[in-house]
Amino acid sequence: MQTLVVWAHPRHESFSHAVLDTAVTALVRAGHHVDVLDLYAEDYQAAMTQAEWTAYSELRAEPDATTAAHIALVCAAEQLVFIYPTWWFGLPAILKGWLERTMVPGVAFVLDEQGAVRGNLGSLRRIIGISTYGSARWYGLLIGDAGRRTISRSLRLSTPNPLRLRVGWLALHRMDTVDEDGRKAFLERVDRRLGPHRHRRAATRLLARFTRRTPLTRRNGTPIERIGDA
Amino acid sequence: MRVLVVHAHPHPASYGAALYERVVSALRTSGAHIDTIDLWAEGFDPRLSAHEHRTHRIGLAERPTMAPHAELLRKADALVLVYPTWWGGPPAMLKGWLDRVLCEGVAYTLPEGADRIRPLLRNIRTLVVVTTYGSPRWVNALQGEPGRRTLRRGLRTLLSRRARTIWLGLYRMDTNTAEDRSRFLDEVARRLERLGS
Repeated sequence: MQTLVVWAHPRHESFSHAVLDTAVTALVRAGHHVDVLDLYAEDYQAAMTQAEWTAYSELRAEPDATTAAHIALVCAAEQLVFIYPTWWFGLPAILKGWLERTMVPGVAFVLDEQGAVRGNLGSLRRIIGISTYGSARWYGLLIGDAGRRTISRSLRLSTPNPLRLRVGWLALHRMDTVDEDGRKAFLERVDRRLGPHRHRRAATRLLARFTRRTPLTRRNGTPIERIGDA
Repeated sequence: MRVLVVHAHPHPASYGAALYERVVSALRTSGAHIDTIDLWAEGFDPRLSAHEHRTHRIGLAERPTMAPHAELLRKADALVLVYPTWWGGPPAMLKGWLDRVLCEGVAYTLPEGADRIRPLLRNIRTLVVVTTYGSPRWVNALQGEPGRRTLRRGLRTLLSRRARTIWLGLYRMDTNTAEDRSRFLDEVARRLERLGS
């Protein structure tokens, strides 16, 4: 699948960068075509400009060169992957701003004749969010995971058929106190989820079993006789 | 009573700007001492920098540009946020202001050995949010109102233990009439005039 990975962390030596590395490697291994947006490295401007707002309020888009390039990537994407640290229960401003400036009228949504909003990201099949949290899981449940809601619900409504979109979520809580093993286990989880799909692996095995010429054996090595073999 | 009003809208001739002006004039009527921060007019950069992230345990000393804003927060009895709701929550401009100003030593401390942060903005006893939504209420309910959760539950944990929240939201900005809008302006003014008393 055509995949766009959006990364929003200011530091390359961070754990978030290790997550990015793991995710991209796994996606490539699974055969996806991957583009990566490193928002901080691009010196991305998070604040919508006055001209952009005016265009938005008239249901037009007036993207600058950077945003136009991002819009092209979004429109082509079948899969969007967001990797970010959760700050104050939500998205880092640079990522929130990216949504505001990229997901504009004519890109993320259109208005129909009745004036109702219709999602417009027609090629999008799957969204995956991967985030690290300083707080414990119960804390996020209590306050409400605003960042996750923004991506898994608000963005979901930007597709023509919101119920068919698959949304996956991977979270590492208690970032500040989790030990080396915990971090490693999380990277492995990311790798498993984004790498070659386990169902597909199982299907390949099953297919091999029925098309194999050599005699089938059970796990303990005893042969399985096919009907008619005798 | 000292009130800090934070305004986040890119256009000075918008309904959002009109709300901000109305808020300020209503507070003036109430006799409150008013401080204002107009983020877009200031050209505020909402991005937490790599340096600020690296030194987040040091706090304000490493973010000198945030010191004036932090000072206003510390002195405030009430905090009023005026913004349009975009993608379910405050604009990046306002989210970034929170990301940058709510640092250690200003919003909270994390004493050695403690497993949770200790709030520091106990001086703020009232949080007022004035916001507009493009979509109807049910769409926002479906999205789970991430912005309201962030402020009403998240930000509030940093304020006074008995802080009250006044939430003033106008839905359906895409389709509502001039009358709806002026009625909301009046409601906002009415609620804020009483804030000082």
